[in-house]
Parts: sequence; C-alpha cells; structure tokens
Amino acid sequence: MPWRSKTPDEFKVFYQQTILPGLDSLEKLRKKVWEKIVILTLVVFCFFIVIAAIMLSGAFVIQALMIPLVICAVLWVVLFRIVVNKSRVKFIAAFKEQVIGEIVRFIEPGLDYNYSKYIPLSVFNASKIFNVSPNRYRGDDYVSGRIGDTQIEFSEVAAERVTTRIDSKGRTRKEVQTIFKGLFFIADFNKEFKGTTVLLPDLTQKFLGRFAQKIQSIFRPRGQLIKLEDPDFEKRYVVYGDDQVEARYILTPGLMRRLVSFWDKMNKVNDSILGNFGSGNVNFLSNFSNVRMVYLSFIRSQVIVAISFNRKLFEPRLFRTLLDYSTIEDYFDDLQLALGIVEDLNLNTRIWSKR
Amino acid sequence: MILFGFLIILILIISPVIIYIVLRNSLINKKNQVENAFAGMDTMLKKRYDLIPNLVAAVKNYMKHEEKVLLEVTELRAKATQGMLTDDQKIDLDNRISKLLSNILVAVEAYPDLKASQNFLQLQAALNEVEEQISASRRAYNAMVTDYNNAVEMFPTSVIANMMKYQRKPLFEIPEAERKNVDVGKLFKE
Repeated sequence: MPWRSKTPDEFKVFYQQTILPGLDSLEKLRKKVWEKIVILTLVVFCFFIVIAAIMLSGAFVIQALMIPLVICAVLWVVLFRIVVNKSRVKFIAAFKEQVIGEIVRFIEPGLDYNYSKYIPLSVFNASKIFNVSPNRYRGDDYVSGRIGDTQIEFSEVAAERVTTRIDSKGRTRKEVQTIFKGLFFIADFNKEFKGTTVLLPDLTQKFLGRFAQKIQSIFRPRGQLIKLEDPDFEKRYVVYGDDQVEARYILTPGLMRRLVSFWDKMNKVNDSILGNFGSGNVNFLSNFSNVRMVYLSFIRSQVIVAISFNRKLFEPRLFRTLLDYSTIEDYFDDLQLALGIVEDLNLNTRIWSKR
Repeated sequence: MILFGFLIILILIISPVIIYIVLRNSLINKKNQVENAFAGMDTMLKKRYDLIPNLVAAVKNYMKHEEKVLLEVTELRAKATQGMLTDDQKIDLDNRISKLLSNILVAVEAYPDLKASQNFLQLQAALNEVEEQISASRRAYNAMVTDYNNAVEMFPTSVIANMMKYQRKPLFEIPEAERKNVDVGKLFKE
C-alpha cells in the first residue's frame, strides 16, 4: 500500500487521544520553570534597587548606576544557570519525548526520533551545497527511518563560520557568518546516478546588490551551469552539475514542476517575493529575510534538501501555554513539511532499475 | 614617442586577431558540444536496442496475438544497429521503435501472467530507465543546439559563423504522437 501523510483531522483525533492527556504534567513543568525565572528576576531586580538606592543617596550620578546594572546582569545569568537551568533542561527533554517524538511516530510508526542527535558535520560538508566549511556546527531533533520505500533522515542544523580579525583600532573582532540554519533532510533517491548536481536559490547579483557578494562567496559556482527548459523552475533555482545529461536524467520535466511547487509551498506561494526581486526596491532586505531558501543536492544516489528557517524548529516556548491546540499543531505542520518531502518529490515512485 | 606609437599600432593589429581567435574557438567549442551531445544520444539509443531482444524473448511465449509487432520491432532494431545511417534516418527509426515499444508495453496489460513475471518486471524497469535517459540526452542535445544557434545568429559571433559557413542546426523535436498526453481511458477501451 502506498504511503500517505496524515490529514489535519486525523491529527486532531490523535491530539485528543494521545498528546492532550500528557500535556497537563508538561504544563506543570513549564510553569515551574517560568515561576523560577520570574522569582529570580524579581529578586535580582530588588537587589538592584537596593544597591542603586544606597549609591544614589550619596551623590546623584546616573552613570554610576552602570556598575550595579552590570553586576546584577551577571548575577542573573549565574543564578539562572544554577537555579533554573536544570528544570528547564528537564522540561525540554520531557516535551520533546512526549510531544515531538509522539507526533513523529504518529506520522509514521517506523520512524526513530532522537532529540539530541543530528546530521553529522561530515555529511553536511559532503552535500557540496555550501562551499564554506563551518567551524561552529550544532543541531538536534534527529529523525530517521523509512517512508514507504524511501529511506530518510533529517535534523535541524545550524552551521556558522566564526572568524576573528583585528580592526583599525587594534581590537580583535569576532564575526559570525551564518552559513545555514534550518532543516537538513536526506533521502534515498529513486534513480541511480554517479555525479553531483546542485540546485541553489537563484538570487543573482542584480537583485541583491552587495548581498550577492556575500552569498556568492558561500556558493561559488561549481561545475557546469545547467540551463533547463522550464522558465518557472529557472526563476527559482540555478543548477550546477558535472554532467549535462545526468542532471537532466535526474531533473525530468515532472520533477522540475514538483520542485517549483515545492519552492512555492515553502514560501507559502509568495509571488510577491519573486516579483520584488526584479523591482530592486530598497525594502528588499526585509523581503529577503522572508524568503525561505531551498537548496538541493543530488549526490551518491541520494537527494539532500536544505530548507532555511529563521526560527528554531521543534522547540517548546517557555512563555506560552502548551494547552493551546494551535501551538501543538504548529509542530505537526513543521514535521509534516519535513516528512512530506518524500511525497512532494515523488520519491516513492520506483519504476526504474533502482529498487 | 616613436616607440609609443609603434606599441599602439601593434595593439591595434593584435587585438582584433585575439578577439577573432577567441570568438572562433568559442564557436567551434559549441559545435563540438552539439556533436558530443548527439553522440551521447546515440549511446542511449544503443542501450535501448540492446534491450529489445530480451524484451521480445520475454514476451514471445505469452503474446501470441502480437507476433507481428514483435517481428517488426526486431526488424527495425536490426536495421538500426547495422550502421551506415544518416542522422535523419536514425531519428526516424528511433521514433518508430519508440512507438512499437509503447504498443507492446500497453498490450502486456492483457496478459496478467506476463505482467506479474519477475523477468518482465525487471525488463520494464530497465526500459523505463533507458527511456528516461534517452529523454535526458535529447534535452541535453537541445540545450546545446540552442546555445550553438544563439552563437550562430547573434553578433559578433554571427560574423565569424558566416565566414566559417556555420548554419543553424535543427532542434530535436519530439514526435506529435509522443507529445500528446496518454489518454488512459482510451487505452483500456482498445
């Protein structure tokens, strides 16, 4: 029987039956953390008032308040580590197991979920999507298993490059360049191939100005440029590969249509964003942050999909109640988005030599 | 001063020569890429020819009614593999074989035993694979030809193309029958 994803209605039933009963104890944990933070902040604030009052009673110098302010900030951080962090970590672990883990198994019972594991750096680099190798690499929420006939794995990753340089005044400055932050998804592709074909978002210089240089330093063109026939596809992706025929063997007209829809789905069919590329308006940078970048790499008979996200994925919110259905539904939507790639790219169709 | 003038004259003479060489080479490069892509297409077609005897052998015993089609496809294959064909003849033969093969694969629907046999399933997968590769190589060929045609017609390479007597090359067109969407309902009625 072909695999199919779960509908929102099915999720609603699952939520009522499985997730909701466990939410009460999770909510208690969350409130405990929340209360601790509030109390801690109040205590530190009172402490600050007292010091400030003592100092101000001597001489009225506003600048003098800087010292207690810094002391209190440091105190807050230290106390947070000692008093709050343990229960915060406990809450997050319980949340991930009881909410994220359950939803993953609901979508496909055969999937494994491990919240502390992630796609290793070596695999990230081997995707050949990003030319700059990160020196700070983190991640979590690793899912692996089979969807229908297709072996998949994904996790959230954040790859950064930290460089230090000495500025004109002789101070050392740390610069953090985000290479990629978001969802990193790997699946077995339904056709066999030898070379590498990489699809990058088509954001050329004329749309981005100075931004382009920064981006192009990350994605220096590699291999041959592959020009494809589909204009909608070409508007969204730029393709590089080491074999013209093989790239077209992978990117059939059908898959190109699917990738166009996939891009639009990731960007919630934002024609206005693509339209804005051409107009070159000043507000572009704010639009730029709204574009969800989609990168793909076809390598070693696998397809790798990297989707950028501005927010953290699959993390609980400390200051918002868990008992709201829409909060939990958002996690379901994010997981569906990741696991839906198999259907979006039609990976379960196995009519070629590869089984 | 004399030296300076001499240098300018030298540059004026040399730079057109260099530009000519660069443009000429880029044209030759494009022409060769087209030829290379055509050869690539040929390789894929040969792969398909190799599969035909296996396919015929696998279905022969089941498909008594389609003997004529099987015979025809075998003959066409023999013709295609003989060599000594012009490009147009090759393309024509290839189109006819494509049509016959899809007829055979449709006819298989009437033979459940055959359809379920492991041997046939493997062949079908191999055929699908080859078809996909043929289509990829055709598209790659067309992309190369478009590149080449642009160079032949656009200034400044058009001037050199004229001197070298380079002509536009035709794109590989998908035959009308293949371009039509498959009408599944009609297939079942037949």
